[in-house]
Amino acid sequence: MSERRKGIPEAILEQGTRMATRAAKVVLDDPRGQEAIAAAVGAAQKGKRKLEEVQGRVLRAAGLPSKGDYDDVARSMARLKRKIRDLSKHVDEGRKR
Amino acid sequence: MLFASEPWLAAVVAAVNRHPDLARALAGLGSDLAAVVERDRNLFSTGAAIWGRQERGGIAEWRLLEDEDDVLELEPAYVVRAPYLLWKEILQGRADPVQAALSGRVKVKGDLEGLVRRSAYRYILDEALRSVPTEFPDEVKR
Repeated sequence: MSERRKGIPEAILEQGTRMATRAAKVVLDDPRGQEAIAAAVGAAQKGKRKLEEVQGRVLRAAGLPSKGDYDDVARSMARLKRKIRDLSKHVDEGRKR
Repeated sequence: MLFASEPWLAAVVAAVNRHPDLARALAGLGSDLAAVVERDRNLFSTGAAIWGRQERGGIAEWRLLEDEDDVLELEPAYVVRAPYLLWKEILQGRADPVQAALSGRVKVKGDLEGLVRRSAYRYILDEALRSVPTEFPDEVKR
């Protein structure tokens, strides 16, 4: 069976992606471009952090858990998982002796 | 050496630590980093997580984590996460890590700005990786 021909939107998207990748490479290879991208990324990350802080405050005020609360729980679970793993190892070693 | 195995990681870290420009590249960055290779059901079913800490301009400590969730407890300054095939493309020089991070294909938690600013030092890692013969699990199995 012949390969399905690409539609116009797919071809445009593919071409656009190729051009964007080429443009990004040109910008990143230039130290000034690198600096500009770094500054833009920094501003975006700062904005995201700020938004998360505000979101957290709103959720806490509404008595709902925030992303930070979920992160705390995930961290505690990971700690617990590691402690269980360590304990299991000790038990196994004890059995072998 | 098998990708993401302990001997492979030891060889890569040793090669990176030998580079004379490393201290300059690491200056001002966070103290530790974790890299997570996401599981691929068919090609790399175990996944892998690696952690490393820098001190005095070199990688002072590193280890392969037993469980990916250990990253949550360690809370490193940076967490870099990508699917197995993308790591493979990056290691083989077929994908650009900075572009992949900016496009979101590689997920970076931490100060991405600082990493982009140091992207000119990418050659340190590239040279180190080139110096270590790497076998990929999906190719070894064949």
